[in-house]
Amino acid sequence: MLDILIRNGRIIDGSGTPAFMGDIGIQDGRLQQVGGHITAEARREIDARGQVVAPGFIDPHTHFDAQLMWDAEARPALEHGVTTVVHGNCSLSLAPLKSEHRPRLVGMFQQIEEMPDAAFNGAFEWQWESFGDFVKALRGQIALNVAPLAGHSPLRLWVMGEDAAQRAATADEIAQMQDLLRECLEAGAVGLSTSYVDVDENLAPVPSRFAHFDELDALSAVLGEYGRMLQVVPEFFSTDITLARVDQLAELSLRHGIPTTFSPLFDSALSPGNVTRIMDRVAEQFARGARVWPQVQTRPIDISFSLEQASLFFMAQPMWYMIQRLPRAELLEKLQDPATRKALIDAAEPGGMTLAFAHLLIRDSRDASLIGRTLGDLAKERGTTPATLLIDLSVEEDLNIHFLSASMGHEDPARVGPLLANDLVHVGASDAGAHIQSFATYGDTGYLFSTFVRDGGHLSLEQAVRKITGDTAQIWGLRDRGLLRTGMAADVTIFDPENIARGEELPVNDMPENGMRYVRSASGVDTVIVNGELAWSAEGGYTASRAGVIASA
Amino acid sequence: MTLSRQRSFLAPEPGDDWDTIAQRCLPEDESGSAVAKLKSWNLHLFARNPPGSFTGSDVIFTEGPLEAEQSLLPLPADPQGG
Amino acid sequence: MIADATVGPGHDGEAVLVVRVRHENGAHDSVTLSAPAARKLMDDCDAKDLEDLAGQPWQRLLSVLET
Repeated sequence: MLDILIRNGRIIDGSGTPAFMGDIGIQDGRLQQVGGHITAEARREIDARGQVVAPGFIDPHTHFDAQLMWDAEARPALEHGVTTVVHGNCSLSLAPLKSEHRPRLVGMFQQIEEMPDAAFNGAFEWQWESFGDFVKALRGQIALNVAPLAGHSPLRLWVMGEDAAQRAATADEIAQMQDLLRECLEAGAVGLSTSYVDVDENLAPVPSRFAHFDELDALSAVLGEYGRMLQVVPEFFSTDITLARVDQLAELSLRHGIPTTFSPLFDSALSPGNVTRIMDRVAEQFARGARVWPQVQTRPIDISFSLEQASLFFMAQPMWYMIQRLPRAELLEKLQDPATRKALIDAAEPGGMTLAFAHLLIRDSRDASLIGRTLGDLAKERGTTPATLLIDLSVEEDLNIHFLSASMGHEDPARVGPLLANDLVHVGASDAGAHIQSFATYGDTGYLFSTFVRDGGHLSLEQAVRKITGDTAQIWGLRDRGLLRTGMAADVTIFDPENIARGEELPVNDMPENGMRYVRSASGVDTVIVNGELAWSAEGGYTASRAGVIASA
Repeated sequence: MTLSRQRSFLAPEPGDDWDTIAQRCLPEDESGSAVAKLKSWNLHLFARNPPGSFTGSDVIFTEGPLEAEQSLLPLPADPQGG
Repeated sequence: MIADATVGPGHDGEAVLVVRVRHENGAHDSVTLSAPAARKLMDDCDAKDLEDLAGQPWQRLLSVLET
């Protein structure tokens, strides 16, 4: 008797080979048969007619570390079809961590993830110091698989205390960090993460940034003993610096035989040669035998703002920019002054041209019916202009209304599509679970299919599936996952290829103590199975399954 | 496999500051001018907190950019010729 | 000298100012400024809009960032 039988599916196995029709049998958490017609009985049958049956998606860049302690499903990642997440990125992990260093690390996490303090203090009980005990705390408690990285910053804190954020490590301290990293890898860490850009809550560099190259070299030597990953965050938007980082990673990769990845790599009209130059260098380094995987996100980058804080968005509208810099009370007064209003509106909409602000979306407002509407549409409805409405709504809501200018960077499918399709590009960098009060970091997989498979045709369905399953598992050395092959772990996502997409970005208050974050729901995903258990379905929502495991390399 | 030439950089050593790097990388230059050159090549280290300081993991360029980063914006006329 | 400056999206959803600097050899480099740094630069250069930044010496950018 099978546990689950998926019938009549269009099987895309994650290897990139063409889809084929058939059934899939699942037993004891494993794929018992893939393809053909299965006659055996099963406790649960799923009719996948018209749908794709694929390996569960793997998200290699998340910050679900704390969230998973109170939200076993890492919502809404699971309902987007994600069955494995890598967390502990950007030098930050919740272990190894001595209890006296918790406030220090929480400050860093809060700066990066924008999570309320309650998310760390009260929402769960810290039951660990060592990486092994951290992994124990996760086992049996999670609905999706976790491939955890050990963070360089807590590693330094453990060995060096407060000096970790002040100076280079001594030879003895580096040796201690090596031993500690070995312990983490033995306990299930899939690699080490470090960061060249992140700051703590006081805007001071995180400890990993104080490490000299010899320290990273020594830690990479330990990674080499296990063949595990080094993940880094390079400086954004600087081609030459990223090229330097590619060379450093290549050196470490070759010297120690390890895979490395840097995230993110963005395309931007501000620097059109950026991606070409970096990918050329990556190709040169791969040709030498180095493994330096650039992670590229699928979604475009948006700019959000309110009139309360001066935003560079208004740089192209100097009068708006200048008035935004006034003290709050004075700004509100000016926005209601007829002469100033007229001047602002005339400046933004010369000769009645209303294009400047028409595209702006309302991100959050005390009037929920406005959220997601464009100023252009609303202005037409109300018989006014977008600039007038921007002022009126800001005044009505005491400046507490936020606007969004969508797709301001990494936004051109004609450029991003071929990049995502490049064999040397690792599709990832979602940052899921981070920046939660700035934008939604969920649904990048749906966006991959809707924008780059269906709309743009830059990738075939099989290629797109491979990019977020088989390739990811191979890059990270997750030998048991990423493919639909007999005997492998039964992580399966069933989706409608004609409808899979990400939903609109919406504010919700589902963080501990009613904390706010932005999320996107999924559409087109039908069923998500983790290690042979139904974890989510469009029909029944989340289940009580806690079949997630530590997906070690 | 020969790698194409890239802009040269170094990783700072413990105890390094602008002066020590300038002495190491630009020994022929007078100290003040060498540091000024280095700073002009490393403006990224000033566009953050605290400005102008660097940590052990930073990239320090030891020469100017080799290739123009192209922009969609037209280049402005350069009245000084460089 | 400063060649030009353009507003773009930062990694965290904030708008940033990308300032392009032309070096002596004619090559360009860019530096990304946060909103406060960009504001300081605009003020220091007495710039009314972004075009006014073009042609300013790079030392001005450095002195703004250093203070």
